[in-house]
Amino acid sequence: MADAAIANRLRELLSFYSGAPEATLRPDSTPQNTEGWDSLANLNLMAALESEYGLTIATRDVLKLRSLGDIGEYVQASMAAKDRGG
Amino acid sequence: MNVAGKLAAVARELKQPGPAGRKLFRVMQRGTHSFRLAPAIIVERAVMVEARQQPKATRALSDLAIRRAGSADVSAVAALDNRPVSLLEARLARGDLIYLGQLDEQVVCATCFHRGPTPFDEERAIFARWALEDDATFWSYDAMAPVPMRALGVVAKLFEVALNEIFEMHGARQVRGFIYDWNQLSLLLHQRMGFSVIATMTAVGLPGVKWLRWESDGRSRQWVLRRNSDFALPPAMV
Repeated sequence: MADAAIANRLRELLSFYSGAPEATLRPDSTPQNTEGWDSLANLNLMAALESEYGLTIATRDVLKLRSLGDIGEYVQASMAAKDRGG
Repeated sequence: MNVAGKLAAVARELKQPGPAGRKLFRVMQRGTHSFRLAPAIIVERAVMVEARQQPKATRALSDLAIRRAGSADVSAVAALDNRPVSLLEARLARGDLIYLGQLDEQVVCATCFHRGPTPFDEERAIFARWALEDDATFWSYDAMAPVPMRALGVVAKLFEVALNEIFEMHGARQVRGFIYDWNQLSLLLHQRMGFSVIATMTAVGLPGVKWLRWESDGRSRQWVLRRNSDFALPPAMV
């Protein structure tokens, strides 16, 4: 599970781009069960994560991230790899 | 869905909030599809959208290779959601631009543009031909992607890059398209890409004949036409 700071920031960003109320967003939120989480919202979310956390998110990886929880774990793992110099 | 299920869906539709006329229209619209009356009988409404400037470029998904499709790509594009290859070949033959998104060697999404002044007429049996004033007016249509990829950003990225190229490299002054009123997700995507709704078209078609109603900027007009009429909606309407 992603740490609370990442999870909270993810909820803020997704709420901003999708228009979904932040309080309704949970780790099991997906594009299928979240109104407004469409292709453009996901593109903007990925762009924001790349910019904010200094990541480059491969499109192949994006295709595997099915829920908000998946994205949080991915960001956390990517940050850890970056810290290790990976 | 069996007949009881379809009737239950109609009953649910009638219970939705909203004006009675709108609900009745929606029931008729769904009914033509549910009871397989379409395309012989059609009841449809669509909005026309227009963009006059390119969308802001987003950095994400930069490894998605986006390029114009050629005849060698037609089979891969058609396989995205089981389109007939002949349909895509016809689009290329008439000069339409097909853009595709590719990951490694795999085509994952595609979208199409038709350039004026030739009217766009793929939907003319349902609506009308869409007049395009000049070769700086483009008609945007048809986003294709396998269902699991539709909300992940690849379609938005493709549309964003293709639109930028249409404006920058092909000299577009405006890009238009129409969106069925049941496709609210597509409408939302277009609006967030900078498109505005400029008109609404309603069509009721019976075998051999159709009635069209066009509403724009507080004005409306209507026509009764043959189903495959060559009538093109005049540019002055929009």
